[in-house]
Amino acid sequence: MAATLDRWKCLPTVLLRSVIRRVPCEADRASVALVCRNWRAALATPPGEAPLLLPPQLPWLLRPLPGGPAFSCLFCSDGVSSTIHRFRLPDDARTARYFGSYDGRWAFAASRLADDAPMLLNLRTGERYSVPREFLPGIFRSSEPGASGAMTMLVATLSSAPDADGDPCVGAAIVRSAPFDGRSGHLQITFWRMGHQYAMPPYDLMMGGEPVDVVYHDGAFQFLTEDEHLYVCRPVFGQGGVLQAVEKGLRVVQKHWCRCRAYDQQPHVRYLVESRGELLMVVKASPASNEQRSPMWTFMVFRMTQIQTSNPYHMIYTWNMVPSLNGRILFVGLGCSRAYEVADFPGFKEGIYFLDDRDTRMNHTEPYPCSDNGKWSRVPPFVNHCFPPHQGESNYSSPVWVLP
Amino acid sequence: MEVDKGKGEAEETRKVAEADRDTVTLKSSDGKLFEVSKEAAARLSTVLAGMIAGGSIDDNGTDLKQIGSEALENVVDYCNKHANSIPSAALISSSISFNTAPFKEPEEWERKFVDRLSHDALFDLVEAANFLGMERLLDVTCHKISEMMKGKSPDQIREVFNIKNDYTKEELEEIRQELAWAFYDD
Repeated sequence: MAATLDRWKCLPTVLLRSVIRRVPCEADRASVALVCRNWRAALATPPGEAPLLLPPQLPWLLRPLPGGPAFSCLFCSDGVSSTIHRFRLPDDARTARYFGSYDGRWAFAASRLADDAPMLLNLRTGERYSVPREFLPGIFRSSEPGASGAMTMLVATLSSAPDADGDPCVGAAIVRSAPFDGRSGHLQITFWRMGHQYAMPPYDLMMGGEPVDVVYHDGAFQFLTEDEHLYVCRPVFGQGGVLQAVEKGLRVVQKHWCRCRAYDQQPHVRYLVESRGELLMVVKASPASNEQRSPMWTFMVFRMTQIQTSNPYHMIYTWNMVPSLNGRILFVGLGCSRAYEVADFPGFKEGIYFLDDRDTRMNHTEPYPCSDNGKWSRVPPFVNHCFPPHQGESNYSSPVWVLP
Repeated sequence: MEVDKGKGEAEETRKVAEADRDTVTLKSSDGKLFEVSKEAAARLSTVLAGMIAGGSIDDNGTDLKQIGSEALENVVDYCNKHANSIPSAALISSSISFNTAPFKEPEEWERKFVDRLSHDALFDLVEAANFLGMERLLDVTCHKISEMMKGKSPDQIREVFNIKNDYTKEELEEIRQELAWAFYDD
């Protein structure tokens, strides 16, 4: 029942605009505008007319399919499942290892074609920045033979979009330094001013175990440790926006909370996410000793609270369980967790979208498990694997959220 | 109703009959006549409502020169079906109003109604709905057309709508600078 050739090309502007208002996904809108000259002209905003507003967008799931990533979009479907977009990506982004993302459809990628050189790539525009792969030389381990400043970024985020106005854009990452002297590198944190060739000297977390996640919140990078303490790292700029230092503070969580605190489930991954102006910790857990391929996950959400003590210089914190999502839609992923409001997304229900991060020992050894992506709802407890088709493992990357 | 039994009896009776008629007759551009429920026409089309209220409805068929017989048949069919359908509150609330807050979701019968149309007929129908000021039918047809675009590459959309790509290489390069992701791997 194909239409007469080029008839739809002449669909009156008012009708085409009325149709496009019902197409919520920004990638779909770009496709429609690219169909023919007439449509592109019709969808451009004529002077004096209200622009076609794009509704709030949700993250896409970047899935490392063979030959290059595809993007699962929850918008282009029925609200329960998702649809796949497959964009033309630069060759060096096709089989890259993705290790983070940032608002505005920015993604951190280490390209296999370019000797694992990390970059920050904008999937919308193709714009890119290089990201340091070494610490500032001359300071790090200079006296130790065989030492190098090389590192591998495992989780990364930014203080702002790289092209935003205001304070200069700073990156923060959980890294593994190059092994030397028979020892394997351990996890450290580092910072860099976007555009600089080198990252600041690596920093070891003194207590609380290794860093497990990072988010930028309240003017500082917040690193969560295995023991659920929080390192608050605030960039300090000198003249001309030089990144001079990073002030580090530690928020110690009440002792009986740490490690020995009994979760009734086995905690698997911990995330930090900012929601309604405050910082939340999300714990993904499964019934203890569950060795299934896709465990029945459960999620717990906590809010940090300060405990009053008699010593004003000795501040102690605790994580308090948040009993209900209360209208939130959370997307959790290392370095790229975000919170959204159900009220902004008609048809969506509250819940936690998660991706396959069973490779969180941060070994980054191939292959990467990729099959366990979905949405968890609290009432009744239910996991919906809403990102078809089923994908097994990838030999180049774990999945990651691509943030709007 | 009291009718004057005088001279103009026949005339008066005819007028009353016309006023009491519950249908109007519409005439397509190619001269075919269609009957449609007056109530539904007035409720669903602002243009027809205006004509009925203004008395410019012609008993022998109101001329709609912009609308072909196939499209008009669909319009009339839609109006009559709408007149007969009982609005189902349960259906509306249970359907997923998926990110279309400002728009009402089509009901099941409305979906079926537009699904069976050829793409040419759909084009004619959305134009007719626009001409007649039929907001609800516009919702239904625009929804259907948007469904035909979602999740597709530009090439796939061109194929669905049978549109030839009329961009030059230079223009495409210019767009690529702006919107890298509008370029799909098919």
